[in-house]
Amino acid sequence: MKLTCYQVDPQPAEMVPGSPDREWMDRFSDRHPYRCLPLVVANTTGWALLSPVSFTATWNGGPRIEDIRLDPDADTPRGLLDRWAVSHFSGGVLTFHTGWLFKTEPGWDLWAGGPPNHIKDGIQPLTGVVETYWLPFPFTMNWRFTRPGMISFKKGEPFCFIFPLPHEKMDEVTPIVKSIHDDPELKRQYEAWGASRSNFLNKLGDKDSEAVKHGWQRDYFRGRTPEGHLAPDSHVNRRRLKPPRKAEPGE
Amino acid sequence: MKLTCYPLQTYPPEIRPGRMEREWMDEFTDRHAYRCLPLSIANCTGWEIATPAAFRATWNGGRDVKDVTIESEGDLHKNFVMSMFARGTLTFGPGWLFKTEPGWDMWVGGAPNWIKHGIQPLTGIVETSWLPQPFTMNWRFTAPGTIEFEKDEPFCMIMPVPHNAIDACEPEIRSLKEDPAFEAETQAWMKGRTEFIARVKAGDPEAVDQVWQRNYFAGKTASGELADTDHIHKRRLAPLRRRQDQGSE
Repeated sequence: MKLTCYQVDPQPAEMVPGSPDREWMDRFSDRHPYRCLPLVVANTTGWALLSPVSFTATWNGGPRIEDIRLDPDADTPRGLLDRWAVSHFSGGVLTFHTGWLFKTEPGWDLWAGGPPNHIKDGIQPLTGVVETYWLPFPFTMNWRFTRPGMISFKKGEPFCFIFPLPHEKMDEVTPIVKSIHDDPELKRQYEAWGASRSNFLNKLGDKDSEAVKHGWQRDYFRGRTPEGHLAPDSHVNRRRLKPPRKAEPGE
Repeated sequence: MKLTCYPLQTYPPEIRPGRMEREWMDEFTDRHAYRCLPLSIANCTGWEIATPAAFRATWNGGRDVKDVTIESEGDLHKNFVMSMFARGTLTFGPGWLFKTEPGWDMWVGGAPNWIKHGIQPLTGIVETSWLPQPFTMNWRFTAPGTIEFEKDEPFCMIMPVPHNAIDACEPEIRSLKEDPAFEAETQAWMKGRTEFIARVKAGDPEAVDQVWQRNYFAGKTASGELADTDHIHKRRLAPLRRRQDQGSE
């Protein structure tokens, strides 16, 4: 699958494969949130766009465009800030330009939102699903204040995160409610997991050396069920997407 | 594609197709935020899981599990929300075990564009095609303080995503000049937009009346041609149905 990134600014926002690291996840002892594989996989499933500017934005709580004020930090010229971050939509919404026009292959939209698990107080990223397989126009990335007040972005901070999403598959999904008793094999696996977890937690309490040494259950990380059944070969416990590269001549 | 939902409780939290409405989007004059089609579509792209009861949670800024406290009328929250992971994390048990078809993971996060101050949803991607265990949905306080959830508020959104199609995705940087036909469309679109904004500013009654350009909403290119027959401007996903309704599955 190809994702074509057309530059509509001579120097678009830097685009990098999503990084697994988050400051708040680093602060736990032993960095143990990184053992929560779903978080780490989410962090790396997409590309981040990094802010070219540092600034503070202040919202007085009013509904007008003028009710948000942007002030550049010392390292950011005013003119540069105006090119990347603006108050445009009113209602406490802050708008970023990306400098890119993205084009996906037929059948693929682009999910555009905030970097997953990037904690920010006072403002939150909006999420859009865009039909980038035909749209000949760039989208903006928007954030909305969660309350009147001041927030800041720093140069190099991810302000947008994108990943391709199938255009219509979701519309074919039929969620079915089923009792676990009707799937004996799944029920057995589910119960084995429950038992293994209780056993593990009990041993932790007892300071049983084996459990304490392991510290956490590695089964999901390794793609195993408690009985040792392996996940499909395609189990992902580390994701490193390809960085964008210049198209070769004729490509 | 099938998504199988196994209830793990007698009365698990309600799951429903993502709803389009957001309070802050309603507040714009003429509800014009809904004309931003990507937002409306995102709101409806997935199924949301709603709180069975209202509760309030407080984080004192401390690092322990007990530094987050939760209270509710009749302690109803104890069925679905707890402090478990420490450092300002709030954990929901969805009460369901989900199974996707081979090749599909589950994206799990907050309801898109649902504004909440003081706490934010974490996002995870789970290999629900084989995992025989339920996941938890987690939120993290953005600052010490008290937050509230109402009854029936979405605390989780699930959306099936392809397991590894993205690993083969190659982002390629190109100049628009290399694709003249696409560049022409882009320029026509930009020109149309600039002219439209100028007409609104000049008070052209027709443009003012129209207020916004409908091209993307209608799935049209700048020249007015239909862009694609499978353009989506309204998404209504299937609600859950009981297996009994359909015989053996």
